[in-house]
This record gives sequence, structure tokens and C-alpha cells, in this order.
Amino acid sequence: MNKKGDANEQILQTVIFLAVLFIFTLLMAYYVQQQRDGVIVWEDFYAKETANVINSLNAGDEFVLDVQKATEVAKKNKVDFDKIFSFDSDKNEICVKLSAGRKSCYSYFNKIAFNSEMKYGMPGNLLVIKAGKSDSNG
Amino acid sequence: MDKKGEMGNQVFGGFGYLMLLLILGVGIVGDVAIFYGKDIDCRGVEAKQMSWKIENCILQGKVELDKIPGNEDYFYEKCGINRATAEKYFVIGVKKDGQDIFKLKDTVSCSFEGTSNNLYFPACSKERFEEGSHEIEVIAGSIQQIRRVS
Repeated sequence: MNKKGDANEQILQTVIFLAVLFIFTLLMAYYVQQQRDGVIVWEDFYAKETANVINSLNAGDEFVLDVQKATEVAKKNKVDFDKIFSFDSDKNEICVKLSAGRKSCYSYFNKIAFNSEMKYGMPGNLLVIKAGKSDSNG
Repeated sequence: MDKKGEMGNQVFGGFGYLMLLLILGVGIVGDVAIFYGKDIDCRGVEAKQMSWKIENCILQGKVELDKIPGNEDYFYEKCGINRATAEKYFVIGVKKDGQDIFKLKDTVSCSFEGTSNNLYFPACSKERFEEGSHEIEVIAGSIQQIRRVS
């Protein structure tokens, strides 16, 4: 039996298996990172977070929401910043669009007039929501 | 040395290893997809906001309880609640001294055990307080889910 040959073969096998394992690990890490940066996850988060903010507004309130991550995802997907957040006062819903495809919408129940404004580099990008002075819906 | 035999042994051994990686990969991909694919569930928060809004509306005297029965518009208007959104995505019940004075859909499902994690049942919030000499109970539940539209 040629023991040297066997040892070389085993080393070669081990190296190949380790290389395959390393490539596999890299692929899994890449996939997990892609999911974390997912458009749908962040649209879902910002739509619900903004709706919750609006639901808790009282007359005269001002709320500032950090939307830096939303703008990063939108920029990656070539979406204009002024198209990220859209408010429909007829349907009482907020829609968030972070990609060229569909957008995610969520309704709020608070009947209050408010306006919204994006502010950039404050540092970071912010969404400012200001409730009207009275509770009437506008 | 039986080279054919060893060749078969190596192929099978390598195949087993690759199968193991494949099973592991499918498991990881599946778990991650389920985790990140699941919507954030904030129905409980919404239900709490609704029940607090109604409670504050009553305690601040914005609405007269005796005028509510049969007069839903009055209730929604005085408490600043959008009627279309409430009727579509919420269940609401208001009781005064155990008697229903406002009811939007059936709030019985709010009493079921273990349904708060089930998206087909509302996630609910209950508030009990006193207004004057009356005991008031407010139950609010949300069934809203995110909508993907073009």
C-alpha cells in the first residue's frame, strides 16, 4: 500500500471539501444579507410605522421619523425620494414605494389633517409629519 | 489495490457530503425566507391606539354616551375616527354598565384564547374605566394587513 499516496489523496479531499464548505457559507451569507435588505420588508416596516404615528397624532403635534434606510433602499432601486411616501386623504392610507414595482399601503384611522415633508442631510434623511391645529380632517 | 472499489467509495463519500450541504442549504434558505417574509404584526398596537382614542374621547367629554346608540356618524365624527377605515379593518365595542352602546362587528373573537397570533382573528385591546358613576368598557380589535398595490 502506498501510504504517501493515500495521505496526499486525503489532504486533497479535505481541501476540496473545505473549499466547497467555504463557498457554501459565502452563498448563505449573501442570501441572508439580500433578505435583510429586502424591499418588501422595509416597505412593510415604514408603512406601518408611519400609520401608527398618524394614528397617535393630536392637533398641533409634530413627529419626525428617521427614514435614512428607506432612502438608501430607494436609491439602490432608482426611486425618486419624493415618490417614496404618498398619503391618500380620501382613502386614509399611506403607501411606501422603494422599488420600481408595486408599493405597500396601510390605512390609518385617525381623522386629522396633517402635512408631511422630507428633509435631507439633517444629518440623515427625515420625514416630518405636522398635524393641523384643529382636529378636523382636511 | 482495488482502484474501482476505492473510486466508488470516494464518489459516494463526496455525494453524501454534498447531500448534507444541500439539506443544510435548503433549511437555511427556508428559515430565512419564512423569517424575513413574515409581515411585521402591529395589529395589537393599532387596537391599543383605537381603544385609547375612544377612551380619551369619552373621558374628555367629546361625545355624549346617551347620544351614541343608533347614531354611528355622531360617534365617529366626535371621536375623530375615519368611518370607512374602522368598518373595513376594525372591530369595536363600547359598553356602559354592561350594556352595548356601540358595536362594530362581533367582538366575541377578542375573548378567544390564543388567537392574537392568528392573522384571521383580530388582535384586540380592552380598556375599562369609570366615567361619572358609570362603568365603561371599550374593546377594539384590528384585522388590517399590509396591501401590495401597483
